[in-house]
Amino acid sequence: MGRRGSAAPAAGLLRAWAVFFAVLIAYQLALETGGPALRELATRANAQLTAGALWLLGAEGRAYGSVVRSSVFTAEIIFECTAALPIAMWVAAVLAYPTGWRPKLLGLVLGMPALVLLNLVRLVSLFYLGHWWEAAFETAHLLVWQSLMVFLTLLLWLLWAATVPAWTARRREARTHEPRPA
Amino acid sequence: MSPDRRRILRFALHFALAFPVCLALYPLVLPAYQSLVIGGANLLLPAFAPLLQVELLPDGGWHVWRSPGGGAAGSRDFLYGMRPGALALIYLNLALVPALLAATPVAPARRLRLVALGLALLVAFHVLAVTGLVRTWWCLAQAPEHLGCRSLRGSLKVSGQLFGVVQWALLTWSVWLPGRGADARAADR
Repeated sequence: MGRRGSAAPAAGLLRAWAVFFAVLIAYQLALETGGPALRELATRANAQLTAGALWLLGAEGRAYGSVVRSSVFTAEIIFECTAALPIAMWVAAVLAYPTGWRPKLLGLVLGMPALVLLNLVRLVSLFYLGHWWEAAFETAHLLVWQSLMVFLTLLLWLLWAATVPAWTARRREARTHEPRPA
Repeated sequence: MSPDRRRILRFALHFALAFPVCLALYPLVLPAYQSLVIGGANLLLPAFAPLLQVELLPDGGWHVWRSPGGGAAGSRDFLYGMRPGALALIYLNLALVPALLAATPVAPARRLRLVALGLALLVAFHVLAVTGLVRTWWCLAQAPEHLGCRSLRGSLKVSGQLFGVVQWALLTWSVWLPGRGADARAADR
């Protein structure tokens, strides 16, 4: 009895880790086999978004390929500046979590744009930081914001995972109280 | 607010306190830490042929050398160089992981144990990561299109982010299981 009781969570945990790593390996292989076109697409889209956000803030943002020029700062967006890795981690963590497909789908649909938005905040803030305090730009770019992106991805995932049981229970309860067809 | 959400909030608040401290310590610790990691990698690298060695430059960057004669003095070829800025993505978890572990909502003694264990694992991970990265450079110098080596290099270059998460999850997964709020508090009392 005790053995069976402890084997099930262990198997679930192993499956979760297997799914997590499988998604990350698939992401890395897709990047390598997709060639530069995939990276360029993500980089240019990110540059356009950043330029648009800067333009909305009145900083005259314009994207020239992967280079974003604005009245505050000019920088080249590279693939590592995109939200691709946090999104890959998010997808891997959401798919690995032991729950039904509906909460997972909801997590993916809501989480991915949220991470793109967070990354946009990161990039725009770096443009202003580059303008106001250029000496701190490299540290903020390579160390602070990269770490914060990881932390915010984890935080978002923890919040999603904490919401899942309540959401599932509500759905189960609603289904129980549903009037049965005559 | 549910106990789970309260724990997450505590985690976020503790991270907000721990991260600036880790960030301030990072540049002070990094030179000695790099020496330790590179020293470990240079002990591990002779296990593979050909002999590759990493030289730590005064600015914190690396030069990777190949010794064709099995390490005979004076005969070595330059293989690859890495600037300190590019290394930030590998060493990122030196600031991130201790902050994440120190913010875990468990009793202070357990938190300290987590940080100590996390730091030991971090050194081991970085030694393996540097060794792996150096070997993939050699692999790609021989076969630039090798998919496995390219993928491994890609993963290791951003390993500060990627494996920071893996390490955090490995060490703290039991704290975050659904409904663990009450259990964790009871265990920590």
